Amino acid sequence: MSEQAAAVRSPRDEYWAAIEEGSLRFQACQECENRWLPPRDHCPRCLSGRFEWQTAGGEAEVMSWVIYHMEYGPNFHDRLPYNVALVRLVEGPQLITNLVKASSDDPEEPDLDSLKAGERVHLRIARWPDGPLLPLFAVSDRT
Amino acid sequence: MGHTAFGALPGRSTISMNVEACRAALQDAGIEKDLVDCVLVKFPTSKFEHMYGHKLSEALGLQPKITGVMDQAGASNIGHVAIAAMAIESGQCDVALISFADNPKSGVRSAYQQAQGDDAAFGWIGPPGGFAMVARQHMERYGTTSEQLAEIAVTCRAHGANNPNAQLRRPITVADHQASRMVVDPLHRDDCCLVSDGGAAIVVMSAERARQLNVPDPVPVLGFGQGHTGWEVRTRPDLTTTQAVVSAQTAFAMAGVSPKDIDVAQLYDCFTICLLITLESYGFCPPGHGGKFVEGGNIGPGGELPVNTSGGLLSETGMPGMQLIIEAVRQVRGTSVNQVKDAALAVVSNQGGIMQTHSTLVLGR
Ligand SMILES: [Zn+2]
Repeated sequence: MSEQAAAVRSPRDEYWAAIEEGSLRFQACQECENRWLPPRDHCPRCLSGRFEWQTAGGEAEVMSWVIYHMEYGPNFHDRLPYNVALVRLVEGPQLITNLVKASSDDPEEPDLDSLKAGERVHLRIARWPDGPLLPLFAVSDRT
Repeated sequence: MGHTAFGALPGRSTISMNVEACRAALQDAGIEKDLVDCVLVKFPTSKFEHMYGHKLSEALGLQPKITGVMDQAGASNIGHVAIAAMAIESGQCDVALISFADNPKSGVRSAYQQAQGDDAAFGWIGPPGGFAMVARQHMERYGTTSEQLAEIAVTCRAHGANNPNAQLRRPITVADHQASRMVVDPLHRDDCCLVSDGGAAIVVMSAERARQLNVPDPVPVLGFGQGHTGWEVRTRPDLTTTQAVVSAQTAFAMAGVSPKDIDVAQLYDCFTICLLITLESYGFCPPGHGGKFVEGGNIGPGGELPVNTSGGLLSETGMPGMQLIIEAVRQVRGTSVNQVKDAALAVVSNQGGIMQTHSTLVLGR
């Protein structure tokens, strides 16, 4: 990539390009210890613009989750009811995601009746039908 | 203070509703509009417009010393009271008119269904999802139940049933709440506020000016404060508490009062969980005890802390916050339809976004 092209690629573009290539990355400040998502130009702790990308190991814990029973935006009607979760990577950064079944390759809505906050989930970069690749997280199958 | 009808007002522009509310507020204060030299108004939530304060001033036939819009979402109305009070105190202006109107019920509502940036790809859309995420974490951490959230809706709806101006006057039971359809689990429909057209306005001036002008029954502003969490839900390390704590501490300190002195509270109830967490943030109960606090009629008439005595956003009108200030004024004046006996001190909370913004007002004598 030319230097000029690199200069116009925003951290957000870099983040989604990495997802397309199959890895979830977050930003790590080169002047303090802070690591963060979502992608932005400056460290929100020390305001430095010097950061590097680090690849997440894929382990996270569930902070909270919800289940949509009503359609608020277009394109989600066929997936109702569907979950949205907030997870925290073991490396620290947090992100919004969907939880999926561990046992199936294509994303499938899991049974979350016995889910508890703090439960470990594992990164699964995959796409919902007709959607973009997304960082989803697999929750262990219920017995 | 004054307001329009609440509910569906088809064909009314937001400027029209603001003017009606301002006219009513000026009549209530017993003053001519030409005394007003400050006009503060939040732009309509459902449709951003540039220079909205100036547009309203034109419609009011005024060229005020100060006008404009401060964007604190649902916290803006108390934010404007604070700015007006400080501007008056520092001699920048004399009499302020503070107004808000919106028409999301009859007009456009798209602002309430906005996708949350890239996270829309996950279906993370709209305020109910955000507050459901907050509610789940509170339930997981503290054992708060949906039935406890229901107690808040039951109380507000019972208060609204007595209020002739309330948009939704049908009382409900905890069982009704539990049977109402799931919107975003763990929130039911009856956890969510109304969508309303309407406007409301208040007049702010110094106590001395109010005496000179023989304003009938002015209600003193004793304290105000703000605290802005700012961060979106996804970056917040803890969803169960916000800078509402700081907002309340600032307002209580300015007023020289503590939570136990408060007789009645008008707390922002866009969603039941928001009111519950505000009770904790303000120190009416310890963190995590909000669920217990709202049980058994404790926030109803004769309870330890009657809240939202005109019905709040869940029953009176879904418009963001001015109606809560107006009901606090009524309580201190002794003219509420659900009057708390000898109410001398009232607190009001305003908040916006998914608890990103917060402001607090203490009124009383
Ligand atoms: Zn840094």
